[in-house]
Amino acid sequence: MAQTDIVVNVKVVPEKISIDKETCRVKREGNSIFNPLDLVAFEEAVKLKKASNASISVISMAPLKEKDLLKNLFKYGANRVILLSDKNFAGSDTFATSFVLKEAIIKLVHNFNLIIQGDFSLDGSTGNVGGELAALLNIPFISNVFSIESYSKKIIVKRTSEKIETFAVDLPALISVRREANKGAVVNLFSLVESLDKEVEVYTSEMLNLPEEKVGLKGSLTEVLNVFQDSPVFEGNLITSDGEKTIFDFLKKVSNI
Amino acid sequence: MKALLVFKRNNSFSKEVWSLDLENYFASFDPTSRSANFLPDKEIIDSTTGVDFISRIMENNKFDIIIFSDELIVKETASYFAGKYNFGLIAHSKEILFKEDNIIGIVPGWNNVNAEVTSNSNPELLILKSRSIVNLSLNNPCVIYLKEPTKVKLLSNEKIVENPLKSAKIIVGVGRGVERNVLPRVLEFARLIGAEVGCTRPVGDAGLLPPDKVIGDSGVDVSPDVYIALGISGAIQHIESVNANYTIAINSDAHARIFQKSNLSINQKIEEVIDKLLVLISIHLN
Repeated sequence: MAQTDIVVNVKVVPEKISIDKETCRVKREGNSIFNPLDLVAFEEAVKLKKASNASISVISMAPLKEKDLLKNLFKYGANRVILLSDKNFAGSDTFATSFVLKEAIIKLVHNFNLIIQGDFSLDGSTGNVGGELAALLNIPFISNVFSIESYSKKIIVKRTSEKIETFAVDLPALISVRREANKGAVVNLFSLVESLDKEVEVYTSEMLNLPEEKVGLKGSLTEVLNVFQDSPVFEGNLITSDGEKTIFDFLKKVSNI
Repeated sequence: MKALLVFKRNNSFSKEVWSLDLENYFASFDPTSRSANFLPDKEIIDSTTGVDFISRIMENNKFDIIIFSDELIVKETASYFAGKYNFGLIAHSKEILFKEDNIIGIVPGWNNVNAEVTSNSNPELLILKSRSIVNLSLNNPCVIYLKEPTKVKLLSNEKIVENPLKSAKIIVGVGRGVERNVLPRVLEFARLIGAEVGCTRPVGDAGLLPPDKVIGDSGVDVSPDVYIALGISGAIQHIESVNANYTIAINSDAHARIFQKSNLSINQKIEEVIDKLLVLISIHLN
């Protein structure tokens, strides 16, 4: 197989979020972390890299301050790490995000034949980007993959739907993986040494020649009108002592004991 | 307004949509469905074919809104369809409502943060939670003959061994409030009362329990007679997937959201309650 690129889309998410009551916007709090499912996707890419002649290009759309965090991906085995960062990207919904990712993949990763990412992100949980990106690239999309069986001219994957389905999919393709695929990427000692002289490549909207009206809020096809937090309104009776006795009496009626 | 409701088997979301007073049409990915106006000639199992099916329906019909169930192949198709035709897709809605002539999806997020999201495209696309089957008995469906997919080929399919959580009468649910060193005692408690053990996504992600034990949006839906929620805060992604006749919640946080859903609400330390329960059960059994 000729040298090909596996693209891994990695999202950076905040450790915590809360609501700014004045602006009704989501506030990011705490440190940034990699979306855990994207690290599961990354590990799948590492396994395929070992078994083939492929290299791994990570693409992440994130604020510039996440450059140091993203640099860690070299230690996991990334050959390239591409950060797409521009103030015009702010407010992008899943469609605008997919558009930016599509443009970056086409313009920056010439030999890509497989895109892998997590099924959904911890913060948004929409799971929309995979399908939208695959459709924009006009390549097949299989989600909920828990095992990649082989990777050559086609990729053979297993996924769980109503049954366990095994698909042979023409490349290029986009697959999104579920938690069970593996335990997530870990630092690789060889990559650790190689990572020292590697740098994250940063691309802005202008460098990618993206039309302003196609990115950020302007390029979004959905709109968040309001955000609110469910407030707990507890009106029942709380048992604050000897709760075990109440539970035990109940369980005697309904369980094996 | 005309709406197309797309599902494979779970069409219970139609009950929510009826209250919106739309002109509803139904499309199922299952050719044997008796609850659809549009059927494929064969079962749809990949998103390329799913998009082909909806595109063909759209050739002769105009819809203002397309609502998809959250069954895997249907929502996969929804995102592919949105990307192909540049339509705005409101994902993952737990509720749908009308506001000033706009369809709004209430989208639950992290930390019980909800967003009201609308789509600026025509048709608007929305994925709505759907958990069960409603018999609509629609007659004379229009059958759409679909092309074989060329880039995706199903090699085999095997039945999934059903997750025991699905048929469990009693489930002990483990949340982040259960400390690692207490977990073995929780497992023993579950064993003694003949319960299955499930958990929240963060507990599964932390590796405390296997991934197949996760109950919630990204895990299994359960319908036990009794659900015993231990140290579970009550995040929407978890509790929306628990349809229990009776819920017992134990949590040391008096403000935990789970108490809004519980029939028996114990505001004590989990370790203390479990230890005392183990003693009571052991005395009872001996």
